[in-house]
Amino acid sequence: MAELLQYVANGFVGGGIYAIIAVGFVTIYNVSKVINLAQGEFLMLGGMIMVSLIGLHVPYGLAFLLAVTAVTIFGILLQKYVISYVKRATPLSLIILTIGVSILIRGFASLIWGKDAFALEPITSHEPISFGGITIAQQSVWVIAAVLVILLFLWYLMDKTMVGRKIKACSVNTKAARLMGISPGKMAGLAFAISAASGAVAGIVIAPLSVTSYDVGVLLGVKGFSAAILGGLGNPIGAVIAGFLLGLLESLGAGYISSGLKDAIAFIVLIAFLVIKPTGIFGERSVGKGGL
Amino acid sequence: MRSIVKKLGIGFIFYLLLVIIFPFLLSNEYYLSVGIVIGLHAIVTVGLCLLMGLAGQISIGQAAFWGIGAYTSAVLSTKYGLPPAIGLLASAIIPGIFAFLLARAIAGLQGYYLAMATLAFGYIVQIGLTEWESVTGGANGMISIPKLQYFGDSELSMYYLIWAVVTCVLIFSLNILKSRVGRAFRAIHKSEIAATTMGIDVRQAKLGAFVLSGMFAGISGGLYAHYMGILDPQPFGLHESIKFITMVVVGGMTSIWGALVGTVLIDSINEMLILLSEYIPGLQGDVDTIVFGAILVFIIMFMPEGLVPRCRAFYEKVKAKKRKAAGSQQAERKTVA
Amino acid sequence: MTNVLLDVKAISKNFGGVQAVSLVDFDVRKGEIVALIGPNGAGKSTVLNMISGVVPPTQGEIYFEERLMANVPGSQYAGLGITRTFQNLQTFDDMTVLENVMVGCHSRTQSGLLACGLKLGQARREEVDMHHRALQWLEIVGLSSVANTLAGNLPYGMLRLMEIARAMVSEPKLLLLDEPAAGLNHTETADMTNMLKRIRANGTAILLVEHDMDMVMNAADRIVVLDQGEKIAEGTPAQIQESPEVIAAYLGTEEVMQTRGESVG
Repeated sequence: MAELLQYVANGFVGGGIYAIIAVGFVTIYNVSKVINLAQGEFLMLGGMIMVSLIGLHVPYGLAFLLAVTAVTIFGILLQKYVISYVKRATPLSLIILTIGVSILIRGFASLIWGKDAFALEPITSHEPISFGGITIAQQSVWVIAAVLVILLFLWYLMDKTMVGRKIKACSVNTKAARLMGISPGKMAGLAFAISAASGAVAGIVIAPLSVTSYDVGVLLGVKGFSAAILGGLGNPIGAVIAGFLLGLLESLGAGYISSGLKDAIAFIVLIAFLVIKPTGIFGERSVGKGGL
Repeated sequence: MRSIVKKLGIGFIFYLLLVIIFPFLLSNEYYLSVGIVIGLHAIVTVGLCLLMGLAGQISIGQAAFWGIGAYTSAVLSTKYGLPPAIGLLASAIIPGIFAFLLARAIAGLQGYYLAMATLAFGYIVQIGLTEWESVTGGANGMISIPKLQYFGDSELSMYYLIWAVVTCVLIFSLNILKSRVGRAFRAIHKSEIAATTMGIDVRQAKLGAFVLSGMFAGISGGLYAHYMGILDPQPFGLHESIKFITMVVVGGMTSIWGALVGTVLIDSINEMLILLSEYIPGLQGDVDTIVFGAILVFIIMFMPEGLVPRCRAFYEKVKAKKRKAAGSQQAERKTVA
Repeated sequence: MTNVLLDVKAISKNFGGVQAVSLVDFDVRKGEIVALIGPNGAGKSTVLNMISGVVPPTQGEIYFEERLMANVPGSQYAGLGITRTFQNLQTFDDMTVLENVMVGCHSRTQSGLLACGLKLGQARREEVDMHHRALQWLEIVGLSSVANTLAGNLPYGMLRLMEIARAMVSEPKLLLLDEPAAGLNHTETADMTNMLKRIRANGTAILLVEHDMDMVMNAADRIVVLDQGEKIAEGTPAQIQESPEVIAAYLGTEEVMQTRGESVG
């Protein structure tokens, strides 16, 4: 029983990160119908910039702010000068483009930081906390806190503010939104900024849990993409639930079956789900036009 | 003679000549090995071009079929002592079966969902190859896989064998392109509804494209295993799948020749980068990733149709201009007369 | 053996609560042109989509040559003898005009992946035959001069003709046309009308959805009128022009039917 609880706790931490990445995917997708496969690189950049700043003896809080800001600006520039440049974009070309961006970023990261792994100091001490038979790192608590804050913030932004309404308007009908004086380009930039910022935060808080290096973004991005697809593209709540589900699945799979197979289990479940329900667990929210 | 030229096409004859004389142009073991690797990659990318460029079905897991093919032949010939010929046959069939099952399961998926499913499949296969230690040797891989010795065991004979396969695959694919089946592939790419009303079974067409591309990748994998003699799961992952996509995209997705040109180009650049890194020791990072990333981004932004179609369009334009110029000259002469 | 080709029995279509078509029935006999008309949103295209197997009816049955079409997959319609064109063209832009029309032969040919890849005898023979038939139809619709042009480079009117050639090359028994005159000018519409008559003379029945009354009154043998998803009238062009229900349905939207020859936008 204690074992099970331990796995669930671990899965919750990992799943929270997937949830954030998945929500990043969904935010961008809803506004601009782009799947940004470079999403995982935002996390990598956040963690690596943080490591460098701490290395330069910048105070933790300030370093955090600087790292998140830098990644956010990067996200905006990426949207403005690369993604929006592609005319007559199809899913196929956007996938290829963002894969290109992703490996380009990774390549530069390997040039700047090298291929070694770096450790980042946790926000509070290394001492793990135990309660009710389970033990988790203090940093894990911070991760969960950060996940909750980000998700709450995004929910508030989308549901309670004017900006959120504008973004929603763009996702429902870009043309109508444009006619109402909303600039879809600006909203797409904003969506990239939001995803980049939340990605950077996630990247920073998870870095101390293990180590960080130039290539951590690949698998994280793929997992986040899986969660976004599993939840039904365009459905933020679905993405969050699917993110946590994926994290739990991996943790339980690693614990009870085999740690080497943990990624495979998650992907097999994903394919199985897609076979049964081709638009994810909760279905795509924006149903496509009939085509005729 | 003229009729042969006409029948094969000048481009094809040029290709054949180049393939035949390449070993004599650069007669050096190293270049020969590069030529072999290009050939192996080309078999995969021509298949991927049929799937992605013609039928419009993205696969971010093509290296998985390559890997299944490689391990199939390697295991059969190393562990069970079967002759490599049988191993190679199986390395076409087994990945074909995998492709069939995968495609059957996910034929209903489109766009991003299909991308995710193939990506996941790629991961599953790579993890499977790593974890199934009793058969695949796990992360350590396999050694002493028998070489193909049907035409002697020199590097040169391997080169010709592989390019013979490339040529067969190429002819097969070019035939498909200009056939009922190829047109069906292209039709489902543009409009599944219109294709259906023309009597095309969309699901079956997708299945066909997946199986064909999977088999091509498998054949290449089998040859790769016997050529290398050793095998580990590392090259059969996402990185290689993306490289295959890059090759197809650079050359021009809709063109089979484009896949070939893209493969030659990307592999050549790769080799140049390796040479370069020997002279510039300071470069510790993945320079090749930067270059390939930049190429992908550049192509999609500025030349989405790819090199070969772009060049072809340019050539047609020049030709049309010439014809027009000649036409107006004639017209002028007439008016003068 | 009756001479009814298509029998539509009380079909309805419900799109997520919206009743697009309700209890419509009519038939199409061999070798006749039936026009389906009605104001915008009357459900004409939906009826055509149901008959061509693109969307299944919520209720009711469709019989083609006395065969119930409910469980026939969409890709088998062409083989049975039903083909169609689309209101907003569905052309294969990156293929040549000839190749587009050759796709239309798909249902009349068999060679598979292996036969095509190896260019076996069957594939070769079929290819020659398809090529020949496609050229024949391009000749009929007057597009032989652009056979090797990419479809994407063709003007609208020519694409409409190409779609007809593509649908006709498999020699269907029933051709479904969704607004073939949309976007055409006066002369082109007249040419198109003659084309329809020629197709009928060839033995193919036509079900036509069209707004252009010129074409409808001139070409159709019978007319079925829909309004708000229901059939409100059926008869010969002369009967329809007299029908008070039809006039009522059209009045208020546009002054139509008063004079023969004016088109309804």
